[in-house]
Amino acid sequence: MSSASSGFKLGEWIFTTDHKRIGVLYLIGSIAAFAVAGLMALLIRIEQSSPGPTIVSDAYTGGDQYNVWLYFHGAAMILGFLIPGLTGFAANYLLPLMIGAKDVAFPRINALSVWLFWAGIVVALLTFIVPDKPDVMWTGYPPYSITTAGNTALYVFTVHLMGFSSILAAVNFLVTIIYMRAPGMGWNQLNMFVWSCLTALIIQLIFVPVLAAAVTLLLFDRYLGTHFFDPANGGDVLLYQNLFWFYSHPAVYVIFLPAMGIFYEIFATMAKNPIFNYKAAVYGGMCFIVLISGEVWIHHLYYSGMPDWLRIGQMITTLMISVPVGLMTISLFGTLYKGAITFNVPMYYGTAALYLLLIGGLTGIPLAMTVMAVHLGETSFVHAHFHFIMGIFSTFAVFAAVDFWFPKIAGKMLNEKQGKLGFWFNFIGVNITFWPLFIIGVEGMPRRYWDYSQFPVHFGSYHKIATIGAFIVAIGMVLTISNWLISAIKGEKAPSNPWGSNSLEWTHTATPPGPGNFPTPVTVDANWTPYNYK
Amino acid sequence: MRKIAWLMAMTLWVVLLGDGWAISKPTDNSDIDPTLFRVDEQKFLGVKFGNEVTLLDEQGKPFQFADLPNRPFVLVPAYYTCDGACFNIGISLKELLKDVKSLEAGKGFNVVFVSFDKNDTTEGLTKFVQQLDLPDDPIRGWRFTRFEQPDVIKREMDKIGYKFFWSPADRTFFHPTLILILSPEGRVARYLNVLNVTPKDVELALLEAKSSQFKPSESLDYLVSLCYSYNFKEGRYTLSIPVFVGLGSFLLGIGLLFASLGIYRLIHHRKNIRK
Repeated sequence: MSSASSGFKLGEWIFTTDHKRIGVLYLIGSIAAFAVAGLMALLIRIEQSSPGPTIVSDAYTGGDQYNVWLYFHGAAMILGFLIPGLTGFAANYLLPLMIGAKDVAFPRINALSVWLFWAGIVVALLTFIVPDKPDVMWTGYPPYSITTAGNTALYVFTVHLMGFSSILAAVNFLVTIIYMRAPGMGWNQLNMFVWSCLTALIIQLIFVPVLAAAVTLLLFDRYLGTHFFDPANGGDVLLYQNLFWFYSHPAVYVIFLPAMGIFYEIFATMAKNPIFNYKAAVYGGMCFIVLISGEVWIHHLYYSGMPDWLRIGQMITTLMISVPVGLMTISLFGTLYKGAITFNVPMYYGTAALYLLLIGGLTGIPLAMTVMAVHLGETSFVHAHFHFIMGIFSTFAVFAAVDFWFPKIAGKMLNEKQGKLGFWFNFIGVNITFWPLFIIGVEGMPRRYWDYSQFPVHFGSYHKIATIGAFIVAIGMVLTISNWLISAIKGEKAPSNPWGSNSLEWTHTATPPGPGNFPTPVTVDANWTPYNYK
Repeated sequence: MRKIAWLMAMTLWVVLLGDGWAISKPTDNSDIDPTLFRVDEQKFLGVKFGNEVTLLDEQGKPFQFADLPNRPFVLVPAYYTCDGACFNIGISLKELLKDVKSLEAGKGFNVVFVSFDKNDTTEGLTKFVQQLDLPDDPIRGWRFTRFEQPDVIKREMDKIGYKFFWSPADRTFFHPTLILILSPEGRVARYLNVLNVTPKDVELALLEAKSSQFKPSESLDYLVSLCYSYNFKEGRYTLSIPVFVGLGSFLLGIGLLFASLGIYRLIHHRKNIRK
């Protein structure tokens, strides 16, 4: 089997059209965004560790500084890390290998896509250079985003670049999956990760243009004097929220589905079991999510005023989401059943993900219910909820993916001890960070407040604990990411299939895979599946 | 002495006569700045009208406003001895409602005239209704009412931001040509200037007020109403461009999927031909 050429040449990386290198470029960019957004999270937590100004300069401008941190943290984590980390890095590197393809359908468009993403990262980082820093959260709600002195254009251009990049990526991978599967590979023989990407990318391709359109109109309102979202002049301010969440709620599934796909691969391989209820998980789980993903966004607007029948209808459809998610969760648990489970670092993250799914899922139920959401929706309870179910769950999926496929990507084994140590810091840290926020959220601690001195004094103690948790997570992140870097240079040479997987990327390619991926064209027969362990 | 007294009496008479004439004669100064009647809509939207208010119906029988059918209302503040504006409001509203297709007065909504003149009587009301020449249909959905207790008139009108005043010089009430669209619960959903709107505006305002009561068969009407937004500046509904932009971009996303599949097939078809 051919392997990747050794030696680093910058030009080869800049002009590459190889999906594996593009995947690595996505990983580097998304980890960079993650690191800066993580620093913002630490600043947020330090600021909240005591009521009143803690590290902001004074009480008058403190809110503005804090809003900039919130903006960058939210925008970079979602648009710069989670989506590109999963559908950029993981899909790019793994998808063609899993379906037996030599490359993606449109390699040059793929290269354009990654550099648009990098341009988006650079534009986002300009936040720290421009004097009028954007401060519009990741949502950019008008009227604030139209009237603020902050630079709304920077937010809009970041969304445009990242959005355009993700549209191109979605086009590419959907065509690749549909037309470039190895001869003989049927739909029911696809890896779960491939299915998860297929469904996530359909959502992405359909809904991203709506977000792009919404922020473009916002740009016109802000800089060209139009009134699309100005109610005093015939606009509709709530319409922006509708358009924004029409994309951004499905975006949760763009993140969630590939994360689930990654855990499926890890569970099946580490437990040496076939996927439990494959068809139910694919068609009843993933495909059903695609069908209803575009119909539940209004639960983000429960507090914005709407007819009761619409609110109740949205509550029902939102609760219905738990059916496909439940099917997939049962399938994940079932895949472990009676398995000979190897507990290594990826499996640690996988097991933790089941716990996160449970807590995040259960705390989502009261938020879906209108009567509870009115009380909890704008508190730190929802903040903790979406960090469990979306932020941390998906971050753990990216970490698990890097750890699981690291031998394939780098040709080296990770340091298992450091990986486990990093995991425990991460896992313990996130629990210490977010459980206190659940508690004070129920008691009425609002989201996004930098100064909460008007609230009960004991909120300060909970915030202090959460801040300690954030620093523990920071140590875990440093341990995890440094482990990748050190192991890539000094790690032990990896065997070709260290986990004994049946998936094509392990069984039919070199480690690391060379140009063209497969030394000979791959064909599979009707009995082949990537999970044929028994 | 008698002459002096007679002269003084005549002078006083002339002065009083002159005063009376001056008071009763409309003058150029009677023109009222219409902005005086402007309602700060955003302050009053959602305010509940007629809570625990007793009205008198066309026959002078008392009833509670809350007892009216649970439908949206077109509330028309007026007075029945009005010699101009109120009648024009009534006629204009009648013409507008003729072209409201999706909802019918008496079935989908009610029109309720409410008098802000404490001196209005059943006779005056009857005469006013006759002049409007409404169809003689028991469910025509138009109601003409007065407040039972005159002292609540100002309070109730102030509550919904409706301004009016009596001009002794003109012997008339000055008031705007506003109609209010109320939700079935009696909350103010929209203010419309009846002389400045189209039937579509009235229809959209009623649909908006009715949004909590939609039947599945009215889904299409509701969807159409979502394509418009109310323009506070113009006082009417205008097409909401972002809805169409959003819809277009959604279709673009779906189109991109099929276009990319087509392009890929085309490229490979050409490659195969070359081979």
